[in-house]
Amino acid sequence: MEMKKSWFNKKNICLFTLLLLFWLILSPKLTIEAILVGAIVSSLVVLYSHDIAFVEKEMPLYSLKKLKIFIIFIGHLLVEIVKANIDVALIVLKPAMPIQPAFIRVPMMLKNDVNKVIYANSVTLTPGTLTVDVKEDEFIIHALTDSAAEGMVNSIIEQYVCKLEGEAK
Amino acid sequence: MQYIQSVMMILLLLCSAFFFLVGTVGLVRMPDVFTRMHATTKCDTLGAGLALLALMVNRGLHIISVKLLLIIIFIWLTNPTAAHIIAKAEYNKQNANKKEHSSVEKG
Amino acid sequence: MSIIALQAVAIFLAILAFFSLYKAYDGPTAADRVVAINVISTKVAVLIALLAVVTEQEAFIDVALIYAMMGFIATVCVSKYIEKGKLF
Repeated sequence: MEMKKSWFNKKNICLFTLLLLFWLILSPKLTIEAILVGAIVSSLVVLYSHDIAFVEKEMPLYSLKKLKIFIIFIGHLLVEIVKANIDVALIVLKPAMPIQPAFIRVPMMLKNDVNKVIYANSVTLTPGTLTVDVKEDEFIIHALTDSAAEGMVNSIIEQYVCKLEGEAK
Repeated sequence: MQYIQSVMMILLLLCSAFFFLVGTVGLVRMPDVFTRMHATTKCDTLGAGLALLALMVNRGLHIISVKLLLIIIFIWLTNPTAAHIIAKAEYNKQNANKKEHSSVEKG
Repeated sequence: MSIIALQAVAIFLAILAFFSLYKAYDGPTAADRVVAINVISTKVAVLIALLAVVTEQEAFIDVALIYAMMGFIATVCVSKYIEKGKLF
């Protein structure tokens, strides 16, 4: 009895809905057969992989409030990406190419694995920095110019990821 | 309406072509692997996003637009990850080489 | 008008892909070549999507999605090989 109850928790239903949506987007026509086959295949995938998707330590499901913070964060990230591209264009198209490459180390303040991934990927896309390695307690980051290396401390991205992390408790 | 649509699409396409050009010039001109990756990752990601956005503007509300949005999300997730993997491989390899050199000199 | 613009951008992307291919031939280390191949695979995925809209073959969009996935997997495999000297 307990086993049967546990199949219908929030995690499995989210995974099933995402898979079914992906199937329906990729299917050429929206017919009854497509929906039926999609439902069967998605439930098989959920049965097979329910213990590796959305594990609490790696990827907790976001609540509504955190989803709002996440969307604001995406907006800030888009502005930063456009700034980063204009920055790179100015550096590359100058004949002298003013670069001072250096490795810097930033101490780790995140526990959650998905937040680490979000932080590393957004550091790669923001002006003048590139994540090289994630160790146990620090990020190793390659900076293109000196000003970019100084700008790493207490940036907008870091504040927002800390906010995402902080309200999990 | 048609006019506004095509003007927007051409503007987006011009921006994306410019960023792709900057990425390739950076790939050819920059001095070493890590600086090269700075140019290619950022410019290619934004260029691909803008080009696919132009196609979405061209098609309007259609199932193709949803598929294009999926491609944009996929490219924006995987491009920084690929850069991260290459940078990590190169960094670890250089460190290992340095360690071997120093131990050889000491010995 | 818009079809001509799409075709022009597609030709431009093909030319840029050849410059990246030159870098993949020329690059001094293996990592340079992997970076160049990654750039080419992103460009080709966008190129396939452009051609799908120009020729109105809607099935090509799925090809672009799969091509982007294959490029990512190729990059991951080759960089693991560079780092460890073996795949697993």
